[in-house]
Order: sequence, then C-alpha cells, then structure tokens
Amino acid sequence: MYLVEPSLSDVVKKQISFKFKAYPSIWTSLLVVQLLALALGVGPFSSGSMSSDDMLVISHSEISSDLTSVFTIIWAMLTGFLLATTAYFNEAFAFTTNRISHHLSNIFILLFASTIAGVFVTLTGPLLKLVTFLRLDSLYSEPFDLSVLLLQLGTAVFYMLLFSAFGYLLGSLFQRVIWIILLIIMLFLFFFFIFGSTSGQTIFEQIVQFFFSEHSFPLFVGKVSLTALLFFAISIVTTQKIEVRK
Amino acid sequence: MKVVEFKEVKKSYGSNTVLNNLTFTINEGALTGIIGRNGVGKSTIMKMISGHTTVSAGSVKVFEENPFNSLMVSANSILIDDTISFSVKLTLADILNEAKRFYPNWDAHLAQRLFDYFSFNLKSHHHTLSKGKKSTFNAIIGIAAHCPLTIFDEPINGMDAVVRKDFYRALLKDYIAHPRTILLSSHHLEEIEDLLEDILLIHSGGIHFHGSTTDLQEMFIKVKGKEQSVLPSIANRSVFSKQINGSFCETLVKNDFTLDDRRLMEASGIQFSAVSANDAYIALTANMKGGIDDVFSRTESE
Repeated sequence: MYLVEPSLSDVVKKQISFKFKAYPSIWTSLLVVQLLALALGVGPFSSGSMSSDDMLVISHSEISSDLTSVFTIIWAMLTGFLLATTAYFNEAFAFTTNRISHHLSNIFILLFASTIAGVFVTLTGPLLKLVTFLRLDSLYSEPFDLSVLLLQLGTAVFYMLLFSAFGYLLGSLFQRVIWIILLIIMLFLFFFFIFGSTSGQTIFEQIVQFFFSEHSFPLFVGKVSLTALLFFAISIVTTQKIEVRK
Repeated sequence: MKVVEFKEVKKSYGSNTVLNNLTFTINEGALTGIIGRNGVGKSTIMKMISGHTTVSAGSVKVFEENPFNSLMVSANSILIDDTISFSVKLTLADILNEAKRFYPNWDAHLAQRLFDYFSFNLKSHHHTLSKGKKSTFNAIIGIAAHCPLTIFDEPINGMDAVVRKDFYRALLKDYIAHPRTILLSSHHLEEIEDLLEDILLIHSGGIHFHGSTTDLQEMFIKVKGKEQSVLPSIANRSVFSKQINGSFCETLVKNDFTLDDRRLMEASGIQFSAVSANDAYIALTANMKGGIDDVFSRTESE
C-alpha cells in the first residue's frame, strides 16, 4: 500500500491556504475597525482648544491616529485569541494536520495580519491629514519624511505582532483552563496598582516603558520578537496533549 | 502489514475506565466492523486510531507509528463522525475543493457524482444541513478520499432508509474498486453484516470477539423442533434465547454439537439452522440483569 509521507512545511502551507479561505472575517473585521476608528477620529470628537487675549484669538484642534492604533491593537489581540480557540482547533482537524502544523499556520496568519494592520495604522496618519486639510483648508504638520514613515510602519507592525501573540497565548491557555481569564484579569489589576520596588512606577507602567520608551529600533524589534516567540512557544507547549473533536 | 495495533490499551476519563487492557491487530485491506453496545468505547477506539485522543496506558500503533500528532497517520487516514466541523464561511463546494488539496488520492469525479446523486447544493453551508444530510455529506468525503485507512464512526446517524442502503452499496462498490482498510462502527449489525468481512466486538471494556463474520455466526446455532424433543437435548448446554410457539420451540444455543449429536437430533425431527451475526452479537452481549419487562412489572407491583 502506498503511503504518503507529508513534510511539515507542506502541511503548514495547505493549512494556511485552507484557513485563509475559511476565515475571511479576520480581514473584514480589520476593515470595519479601521473605518470605525476613522469615523470617530475625524468627527467632532477631535480635541481642540482656544486661547485668546485682547487682540488675538487662536483656536486649533488636534488630530491624531491614536484612536485607530488603540482599536487595531484590540483587534489584533482579539484575532489572536480567536485563532487559538477550541472551535478553530477542531476545524483544523477536519483535514491533514497535527498540533504543531495548526499552530505554525496560525502564527503565519497572525504575522501576515499584523503586517496588514500595521500598514493600515501607519497610513491612517496621512489619511487623517488629507481629510482635515480638505475639510478645514489649513493644516500644520511635520514635513513628510519617508524614513520616519517607514519607522512608524515597522513599529506598528511589531506592536500588532506583540498583541496578537499575547491574545493567542490567552486563547491557548483558555482552552486548557477556563478560569485563566479570571487569573489574568486579577494579575492585570495587581500589576496596574502595585508599585515596583525601586522606581515609583507600577509594574504595569514598567512593562509598558520596557517597550514604549525604547529608542533604538533594532532593540525594540528584538524585544518584541523574543516576547512574541515566548508567547507562541508557551501556547504550543501547553496544547500538545489536547484531545480534539470531542 | 499491520495497519492498527493496540497493546494493552487502557483509557479512563477521570475515575471512569472505558477501555481496559485492550489488545488487537487489524491487518491491511480488511473491512472490519467495530460493534458494541452504546457507551462501550467504539468512538474512543476510533479517535485513538486517528490520533485525536491519547491513551491512558498501553500503546497504539497505526502504520507502525504513534498516531497522536503524527502527520503521516493524519495524511493517510480519515475519521468520519459527527464531530467534523467546518467554518461557517465555507460552502460545500469549497469543502470538496479543500479535500482535493489535502488528500492525494481524492477522487473528484466520484465525489461530484455522489454529491449530485444525493441532491446537494454546491452553495449550501455545512452547518445548515440537516442531521441526515450532514452524515451523507461526511460519508461522501470519507468514500471519495480513498485514504489507505478510512474510519467511519456511526456514519448512518440520521440517514433515512433509502440513503442508508445507497451508502452501504456505494461503500462496498468503492471498496471493491479501490481496496483499502475500512473500519465501520454501527449498532445496526443486521444492516451491515453482509458488508463486513471481520468483526471486532467490544463489550465491558474488552474484546469479546475478533474474527471473520462467518466465525461469529458459527459460534451459535438455532435449534428448532417439538418442545419435548428439543428441551432435553439442550439441557446441559448454554442457551441464549428460547421461544415457545404452541408445541414448537426455537432456541439459540452455543454451537458445540459434535457431528454425531447433530445426526442423532436431526433423526428425531430437530432442525438446525444458521444464526445471523446480529443474533450472535445479541447472544454474546445479553444483559444478565433480566429484560426490560422486569422494569415495568416491578413498578406496577409497587
């Protein structure tokens, strides 16, 4: 009897194109999130201020793409979480797969999704400037610099990767132990309010500073990559013995 | 070649032991029925073979490899049961296309013809199909995949009588055209006993019988005749069922008659006839706690 001996890369490729076909909602939800953030960011919710003295009145409003970034980061986390859930796990086992190929294909999809999301977030800035200029006919902004834009792009992509990896970890742990969510929420609150030992910051602020205030891009990439790798590795290891299709 | 090999396999869910010290081998090219009562562990065995479930103790080898997390076993086997699920966005046409990409032996023409024969719509979605339609579609995938090891776990669940007959016939015809190892589990042994070559009978956590269908049938024999001649001759034998119609008696006994015994009994007007595999199965797994009628007679008298 002739038995096929598939290679891992072969199966991962097939699983990836299977999942692209099966889960178009990943991309449609990204689009919805972007449009929502744009609509909210451009409208009357943008901050503004007026300052005046006897002769001069200056009013200005600020626009920023912070809202889009926040919305997209939440989207990335949710997408990561969703891909790791039991239903998606079982659907992968309709065809040829094993647990590792399932995870690797998910990781590839998250990498791709992070890149697309990063591009959208980066382009939101220029788009907002364009819309504001068309609306108000005047705009003060930094001069356009391609290298800055590319840096923004790289940063955005890696932030998306970090958060989608975190979501994936949560989803994987949630499969094993449902009360992990409660534990995470408690840990989060703990970090948020408890102060670190030496500096006058909460642990949460310290973690945020670890990534946020990194000035060197290669170091930032290294930190995010290693953290994401760690998250994915924990996800893979904790789901190795899970029984499927129950 | 040994396709499936179980060695002292034990499976417990918490404190509940479903399978205990199970040892058997299934060879290449056999159409084996895995038969047993509800809850006896048939699905568990099939899930262990396809690598979806782990063992608590012992070893399982499929194609001489541990099937859990094995890409080779996953690529060369398919498990068709009612836990198959697909994304809600995929149409039936999409699913068939994906199956074609994953399974190298996929027979697209056969799948299409079966699809049209059973009146499916290419644009439907799997989760909107009725129970019987879903089983039929899953069965089409199982047949057309032509996997060297094809496992059907109660495939006729929900199918109407016409579709059931068609399914058995389609399976048999395809099995003859493309021989492979097929495992089929069902409660309805009376429907599939003509289809099966071998039977693996699971009962009380262990194997009660593993061999060809004819061997199972020949374990028992029906003895018919006048009550006064039949009852004495089966006095010291294991009797599994007894039916008395007027002065005639029909019993199902263990087939340990010698040729001389039979000639003697036939001379006195007793008839022997073969037993169907289903009757043999019922006899082997009969519940010694009494019949269902006792449940009702007890409640009436209380």
